[in-house]
Parts: sequence; structure tokens; C-alpha cells
Amino acid sequence: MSTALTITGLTKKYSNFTLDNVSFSIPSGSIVGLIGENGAGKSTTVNSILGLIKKDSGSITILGHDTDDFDCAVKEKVGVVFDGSNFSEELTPIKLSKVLRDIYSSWDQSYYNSLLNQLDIPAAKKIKTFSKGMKMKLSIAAAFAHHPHLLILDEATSGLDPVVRDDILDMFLEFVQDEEHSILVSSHITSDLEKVADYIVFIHAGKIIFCSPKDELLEHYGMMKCGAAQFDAVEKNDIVAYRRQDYEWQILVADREKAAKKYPKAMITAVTIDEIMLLYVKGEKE
Amino acid sequence: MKGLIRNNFYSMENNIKISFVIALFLAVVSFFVKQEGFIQMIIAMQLSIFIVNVGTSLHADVVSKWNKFELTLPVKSNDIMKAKYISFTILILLGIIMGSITAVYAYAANGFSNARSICYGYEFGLTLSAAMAGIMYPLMLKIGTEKNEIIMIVSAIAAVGLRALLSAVLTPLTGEMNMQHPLVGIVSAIAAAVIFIGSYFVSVKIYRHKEFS
Repeated sequence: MSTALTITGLTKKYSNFTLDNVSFSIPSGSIVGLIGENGAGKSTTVNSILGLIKKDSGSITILGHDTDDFDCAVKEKVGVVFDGSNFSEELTPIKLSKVLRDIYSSWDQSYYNSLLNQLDIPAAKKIKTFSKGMKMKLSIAAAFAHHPHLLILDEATSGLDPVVRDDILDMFLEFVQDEEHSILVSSHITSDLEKVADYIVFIHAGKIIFCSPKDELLEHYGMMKCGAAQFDAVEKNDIVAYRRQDYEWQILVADREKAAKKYPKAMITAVTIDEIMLLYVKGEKE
Repeated sequence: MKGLIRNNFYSMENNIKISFVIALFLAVVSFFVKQEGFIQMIIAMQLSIFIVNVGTSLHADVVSKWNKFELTLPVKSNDIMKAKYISFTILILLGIIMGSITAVYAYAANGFSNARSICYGYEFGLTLSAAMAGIMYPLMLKIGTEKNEIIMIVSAIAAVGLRALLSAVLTPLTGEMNMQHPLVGIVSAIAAAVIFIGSYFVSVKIYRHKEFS
């Protein structure tokens, strides 16, 4: 299987934070969700991928090219959306297209116009009059309009109302249909990723905790809820993370079927990505 | 690069319009003022009024995060800087055009009688605008745009200081420390142009090492 993006041993040290030996890849035709709490290292990872910060060590390959010699031809195939608007507030979407069509040789004006219509973006209004959601939609339209092979989105669905968010997520799913296009989306809205992501990369305190297929995570992970006595009876090896809430113990288990057989009296339920993340971050580990 | 230059001008559009109105007003004022001292100051102001938008341009880039986003575009980082300096050169040229309205009128009204005064206006305006842009932009790139007004004032003072310094250095040739001496004017304008060109290379270096988090 070919990969759109491969990160190996990415390390970046700051005085108060270290992105530590991060490695993961994005198979072509897939959507990878990068999740983690604020300050976990999502943006540092994305910024390193895009060459906006200089990595201390490790290698990053985009569409078969090492980012150390990232040329314009490769950048042409990468679409980027950051949190918030990326464009001068004085521009209108029409003026923006005049700027970008001189920069991207693959700029598709008619597709851009159709995206503006589809997303209800007023073409002649200044960006400074737009709401945060509208600015985000414009950024996404601009990223799609040059037909990238890889889309990198940093908190791209934040600030959007649920209806628009759903439309955007459908656009993402359509985008990866041909198996040649891929998306890396960093987001703290894990419900969005549950809908569209094929793989989940969970980063915490600068380290990758797991990088797994989403379906596998949702299928296998489980939450065991029990009292203190039952918690003491659970083998420590079976506990991924746990936390106590009043008189209830919540235990994250990596294989809920196995746990259900082993602890038949315990109540074990399926978990959401949000719950997995929460227990990893706020829970304790054995 | 065309797109980058276009973006620079779109983001400065409103401020450039204001600069045009001020420059035009100064041109009209010059029609009624006959003193040579005023004519030369009006031309100098017209030449440098557009270059104050350098700070606006960089500040707008930072606020909108365009400065971070443009690095992800299929352009070389050198071209991003080139586009900036070409835009600044166009701003200086706009100043020259507006200053020329005053100069042409002054010539039509009084002939060559105040030619030296007009030349002084051009020399001082060019020194001010080129040195200001050349000092201001790399400084803002390095330390940020939060204090852009202070950086602009410091750059303007440095540009005037450059002329004062050169008039002192050239005293053996001019006979006395005279900031209005033609030699001081020409050497100052050339020095400002050298600062402007050198500033491009400094900015490229700063930009290459800059991190956008």
C-alpha cells in the first residue's frame, strides 16, 4: 500500500515541551485523524510536516518526497487549512481567487466558484465581515480548488455549525473515494473523526500513544464500570487506564470481548474515541 | 510571484488609498504655497507617505496568519521576500509619481528657479522612504509587528540620522556640515538605496530561520 505521508522519529525540543520520536503514516486513500488534548503536540506535528518549524531529528516524506527538499511541485499537491482564516481580511473571495490562481498552476476557477455556491460563501464580501465558520469554509474551498492529493487540516471543523460540519465531512469522504487522495485532520472534535477517519493517531504530551484503525479501536476497546472490590480483582495487565468517579471505577480495556469473558459480572460497554482520549489523559495507568 | 504581489497590494489597498488622498492634498497645497522650503518638504512627504504601509502590510499578514500560510504555497521562500521588496519598490514609485505632480507644477509656475529645492525634495524623500523600508521590514520580521509604530518611528529617525551622519562625514568635501548640500543629498539617496537592497538579503536570512508555530 502506498503512503501519502510518512513520519519517522520526528523530534522537536522546546524548553518546556518535546515532540518525542513521533512516527506514523497516512496510507493513500485514507483519512487519518490526529487527536490529543490542547498542547499535546498536534500543531507542532502539523507545523513540522509543513516545514513551518524546523525539526531536530527524524524524517518526513510527503507523496514520496522528503520534506527537507520540498519543492514547489510537491507543495502544489498539498492543500492546507489552519484553524481560523489564513487570508488577508481585506480580501474578498473573488480577490482571493485572483491571488491563488497566479500561485497554483492547477487552480480550478469553475470548481472554486461552484464550492463558493455550495458552501453559501458570498463572493464579493470582504473576509473581515465573515463569521469564523464562514472563514473556515472559504479556507476549505480554497484548499480544494487546486485539486490537492493530500489535504492537511488543523482544527478545520472547529467553529462550524453541525449542518455545515456534516457537509464538509461529506466533502472529505468524497475526496478520498478514488484512493489517490488522502487527508490528515487534526481535531479535538472526535465525533467528526468517528464519522470520517480510517485511522486515529493519538498524541499525548508529545508522544504517540497509539496509531490504529478507527474501526479496530471502536470494536475492541471497552469501558468497564465497577466498584472498588471488583476493581481490586481486575488484573493490572488488563487495565489500559482507569479513573475513579465518586463510587464508580471506570477502566479502559483494550479487548472488551476478552474482558467480558474474564470478568462476567462486570458491566463492559463500547467506548467512543472521546472516552478513550479522556481516560488516557485524565486517568491513571497501571 | 505575481499572486504574492497582488496579495500584498490587496491587503494594503485601503491604506494606499488614504496615502493617495494625502499625497494629492499635499499636491494641491503646493499650488498655493510659493516658499521653496515648503515645496521641498511636500515632495519629500509625498515620496515617503506610501512606504509607511510596509508596517501595515506585515501586520496584516501576521494578524490573518497569511505569513504562515504563504510558506505552504508552491512558491520559494526567496520569492516571498522578493514579492515584498518589489511591492515596496512600487510604493516608492507611487510616491515619486505623486511628488512629480508637485514638481511639474512648481516648474510650470516658476521655471527652473527652484530646481535645487525640487531636487532636495526628491533626494530627501528617496532617502527617507528607501532607508525606512530597508530598516523597518527586517526589524519587524525579526521582533514582530506588535510594536510596528515604534519601529516605524525609529526607522524614520534612523533615515534622517543617516543624512545627518553623511553630512558630517562629507564635511571635508562640502566645506561645512550642510544637510542640504547636493553631494550630501545624492550620497544619502544612494546609501538609502544600498540599505534597501541589503535589507532584502537580511530579510531573506531572517525569514529562512524564522519558525511559525
